[in-house]
Amino acid sequence: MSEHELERRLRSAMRPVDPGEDFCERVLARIEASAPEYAVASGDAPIVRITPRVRRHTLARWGSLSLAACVIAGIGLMHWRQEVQQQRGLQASEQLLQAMNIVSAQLNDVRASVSRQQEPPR
Amino acid sequence: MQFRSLVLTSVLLPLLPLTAAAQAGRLVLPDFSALSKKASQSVDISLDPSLMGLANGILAGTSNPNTAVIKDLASGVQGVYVRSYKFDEDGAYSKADVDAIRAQLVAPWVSLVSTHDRKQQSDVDIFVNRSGERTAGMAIITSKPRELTIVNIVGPIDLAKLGQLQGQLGVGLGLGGDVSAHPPSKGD
Repeated sequence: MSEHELERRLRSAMRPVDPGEDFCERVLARIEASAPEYAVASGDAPIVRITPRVRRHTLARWGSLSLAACVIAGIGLMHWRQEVQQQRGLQASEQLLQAMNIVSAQLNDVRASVSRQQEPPR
Repeated sequence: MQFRSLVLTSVLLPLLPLTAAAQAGRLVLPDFSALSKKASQSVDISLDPSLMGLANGILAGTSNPNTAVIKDLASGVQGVYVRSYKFDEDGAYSKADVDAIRAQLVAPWVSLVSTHDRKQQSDVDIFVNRSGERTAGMAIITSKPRELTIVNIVGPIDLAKLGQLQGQLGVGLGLGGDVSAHPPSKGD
């Protein structure tokens, strides 16, 4: 093989090749496939292989559920507190009106008593 | 740390006279549970500043013209305390029950009106707690043979506005006619 022929073959073998758009995904998939697996055994149940991807998905799902539950509980608590405050306010305003009724009755008593005392004797 | 304490003190210190003024109009009402048991009708109302805030909030949202005066009157009030008892027979309460309250009505409390009706055997006393031009509180004591009523309004109260209550609410209402008065429980 001549020197010229060798150079031509090397150039041909090492020509630039487009890796494709899914290159990154393929690399990540290969890394994941080669990562060690974790085994969980419980009693007589078969061993369940949990790959990091499954574990990540499970965590994400439970995380979202917990977050949603917290938000719902928070909104519920807020509404409950508002309801309790509203009830207390209504009760307090009724008591205030009742108290003012009593004050008004006392003032009327005073007025009546004063008017009786100011009446000229017959 | 010392700076924080200094700032806290300088913020809280000016508030002390306000708290003291608010408490100036407050009477210590004795425990009337024994009277409540003997009474045929009783009213026990204790509206502290937080409850007054809630009540004012509710009243502010109403457009009832009948409550307009009360809304206006109660806007600055910090507390309303009422003890009212109506009995089926004369002499159910003793003079000592009222004296415990009267003993507190010394300066800066001043008597505004004091009426004694011999025919009706009723006494009504109205006291106000004045600090300068401001009214820090008000107390009404009504004693009749079969009725004892004590009202304590805490905070600045406009006496002119209070006068507007006359005839607007109380005519013919009295304690006996008030449907919301609490009758004593059967066990009492």
